[in-house]
Amino acid sequence: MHDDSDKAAEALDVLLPEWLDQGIRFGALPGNAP
Amino acid sequence: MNWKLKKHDLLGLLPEALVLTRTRDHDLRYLSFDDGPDPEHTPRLLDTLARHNVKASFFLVGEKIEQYPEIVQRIVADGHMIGNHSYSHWSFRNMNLRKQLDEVYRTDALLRLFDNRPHHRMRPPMAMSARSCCCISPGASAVSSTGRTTASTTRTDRSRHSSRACATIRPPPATSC
Repeated sequence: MHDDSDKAAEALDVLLPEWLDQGIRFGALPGNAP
Repeated sequence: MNWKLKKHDLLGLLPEALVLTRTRDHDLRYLSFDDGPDPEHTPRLLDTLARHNVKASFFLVGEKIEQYPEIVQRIVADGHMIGNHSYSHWSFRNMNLRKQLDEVYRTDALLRLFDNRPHHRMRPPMAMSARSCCCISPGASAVSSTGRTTASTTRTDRSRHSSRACATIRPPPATSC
């Protein structure tokens, strides 16, 4: 990770609930290679 | 709230840490983080994701997996996907095929210890597409170790280190090789 990863956590803390309220869903990339 | 505005805001705040992948499903996004695990930053990200019950993907570096296995355990336990970001995080550009494959397989073996999956999605370090190792389609930056494009991402030029600054604007292509 990089020095700005703290900002990532802070920004996500603010933005994620807003996006979730808009109906946007988040997920891990689907299935790894078989 | 305007999605484009918020995406811009987010990328402005963290131009070097986040990959946000948009999909054919208009309401679905994939968040992924590269270069971990990091003993300071990764747990904070995991705390944030857990607080909002959001799952993401972590493309991990083999050397760091060996250093911080407990963090990888937590990533998996929290329900996130772990992917392959090479062993050393050296650029594949000047690396011969044998060395590239060693980077991929060595890290795959480490990841397998945590999720029991035989192979993992591959994102080459430094935004390099390892063409001799993985097939990659134009505009795509995330490829699997089997050579199938896993997501179409378009990288921005906002960062001096282009592998860190990404925003996805296209749906995944159906390309395979």
